[in-house]
Amino acid sequence: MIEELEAANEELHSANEESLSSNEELQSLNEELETSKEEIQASNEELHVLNAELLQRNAQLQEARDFADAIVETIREPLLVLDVELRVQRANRAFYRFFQVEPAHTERRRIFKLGDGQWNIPALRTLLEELLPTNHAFVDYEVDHTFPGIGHRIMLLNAQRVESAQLILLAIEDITERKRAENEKQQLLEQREEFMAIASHELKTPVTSLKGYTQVLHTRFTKAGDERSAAMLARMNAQLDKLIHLIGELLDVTSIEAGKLSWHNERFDLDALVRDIVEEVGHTTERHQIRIEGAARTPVYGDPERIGQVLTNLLSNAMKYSPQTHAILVKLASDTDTATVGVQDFGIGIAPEKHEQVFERFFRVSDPEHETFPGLGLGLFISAQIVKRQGGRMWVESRVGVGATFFFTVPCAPQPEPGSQPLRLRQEGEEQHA
Amino acid sequence: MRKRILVAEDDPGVGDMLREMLEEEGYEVEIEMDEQAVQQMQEPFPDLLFLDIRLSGTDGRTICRQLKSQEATYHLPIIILSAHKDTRQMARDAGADDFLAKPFEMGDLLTLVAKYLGSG
Repeated sequence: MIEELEAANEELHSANEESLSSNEELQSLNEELETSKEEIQASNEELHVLNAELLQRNAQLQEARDFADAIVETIREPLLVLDVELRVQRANRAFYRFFQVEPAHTERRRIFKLGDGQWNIPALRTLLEELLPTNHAFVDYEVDHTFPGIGHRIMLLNAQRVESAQLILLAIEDITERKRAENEKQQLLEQREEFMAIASHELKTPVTSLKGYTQVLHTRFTKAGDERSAAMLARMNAQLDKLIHLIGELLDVTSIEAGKLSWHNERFDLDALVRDIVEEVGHTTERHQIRIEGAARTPVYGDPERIGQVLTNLLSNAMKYSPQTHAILVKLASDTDTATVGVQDFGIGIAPEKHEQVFERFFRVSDPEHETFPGLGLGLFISAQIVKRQGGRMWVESRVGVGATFFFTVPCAPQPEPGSQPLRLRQEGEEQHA
Repeated sequence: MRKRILVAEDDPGVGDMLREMLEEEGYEVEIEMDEQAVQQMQEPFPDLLFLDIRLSGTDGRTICRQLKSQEATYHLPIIILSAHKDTRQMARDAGADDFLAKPFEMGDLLTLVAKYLGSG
C-alpha cells in the first residue's frame, strides 16, 4: 500500500510540476498575447492616422484636380490634352469655341482625324509622333492653315509631354491678327522707304545743279578779286551741304526702319580713315581744333564710308555742343578683337539720365542758354544703328558742364591665312527685314 | 588742242552747270541728252564721256557696255554720274572707268577729269 501511495505521490509531483510548467508557459503566452494586443492597438492607431492622412491627401488630390480643371477651362487659349496614342482626351472650352467644333466630334478621336483632317498637317504629325519617343517639348511651332468653318489662321503651338500622367498637352495661340498687323507695318515702312529713296533722288538733282553753279561762281568771283561775293557763295555752298546732309539723314532713317540699310564691308585701315575725316572736318571750322591721340594700328572690318559717316557725325556734334571751347580729341585704341574710337569735346555735356536717350530718334539736347540746337535729332540714332549693324557698340561718357566723350567700336579684321595674299574681302550687305 | 568732253545728262540744270564748270577750266564741252546719239556716236570722238546712270529712261550701264565693246570707242574714258551712292559697284561692273556721286564737289570732279585727260 505504501508503495502505491509513494508511486501515486510521485505521479502527483510530476503532474504538479507539469502543471506548474504549463502554468508558466501559459503565463508567458499570456504576456505574449498582451504584447501582441498592444502592438495591434498601436498598429490600429497608426492605421487610423494613415487613414486620416489618406482622406486628407484625397481631398488635396481632388483640390489639385479641380484646380487643374479650372485652369484648363479658364485660360483663354485653346488647349488640347492628348493621350500617348494622340487621341484627344480632353479639349477646353476655349478650343471648342475657337474652332467651332463639338465635344462629341472631338473627344477620343485621334488629333489627325479631327474635323475632316484639318489637323492632319504633315509637319505637325512628325513633331507629335517624334515627341513620344524622345520626350521633347516644342514651343512656338507655327501653323499656317485654312480651317473649315473659321478660315485662314496662323497659330503658334506649344506641346509638352507629361511623363507621369502619360499625356501630351497642346496649347494654341492665334496670331493671325498680330501677323497681319506686322506685315502691314512692314509694308508701310517699305513704302515709306521707297518714297524717300525717290524723293531724295529727285531732291539731289536740283541741288547738284545749285551746288555746281555756286562753286563755279565762287571761283569766278575769287579770280575777279571780289572777295565779298566769293564769301557769300562759300556760305551758300555750306548751306547746300547742310541741305544735302539733311536729305541723307531722312533717307538713312527710313532705310533703317524698313530694315533696308545697306553697306559694303571690307578690310580697311581705320587710322587712315580717321586722319582723312579729321582733316576734312577740320577745314569746316575755324574755332575748333581736332587732335588725334593714339592709334588702332590694326586693320578693321566694316564699311569705311559708313564708319566715316559716324565719325563725321560725332565730330560735328562735338563742335555744335561746345561753342565756347576749342579743343576736340579723337582717341584711338584697340585690343585683339575690337578697335575703339572716342570723340571728346569740352562743351555743355549731357546729364546721366539722358545717356541712353541721346541715341533715340528725334532726341535733341536743349540748353537753357541756347534753347534747342538745330538739326533733326537723327544723327546719333543713325550712327548708333550703323555701328550696331557693323558688330560694334556705341555709348557716351559725360558730365554736365564738363563735356562728353562718345565711343564706338569696330571689329578688327580677321588675320589672313599665313602665306596668302592679304585678303581684300568685299561684302555687300542689306539686312533682311526682321 | 583743247580736250573735248561729252556730257550725257538729260537734266538741263545739271548739264548746263557741268558745261560752265568744265569750260571755266578750259575744256571744250558738248551736251547730249539723246541716248541713241551717245550710243551711236561717230568721229570725231570726245576725249572723255560723263554718262548719267539713267539717260532718258535708258540704263546708262547698257550704253557704257555698248561703247566699251566697240573697237572705235573702247578706249574712251567713261565716268558714270549717279545720285545713288550704292550704284558705284554697278558702274564698275558695267565697265566704266570711274564713278561720281551727285551732288559732288567741284574739286572732286576736276581732279577726276585731270586724271583721265591731263589739264585742258
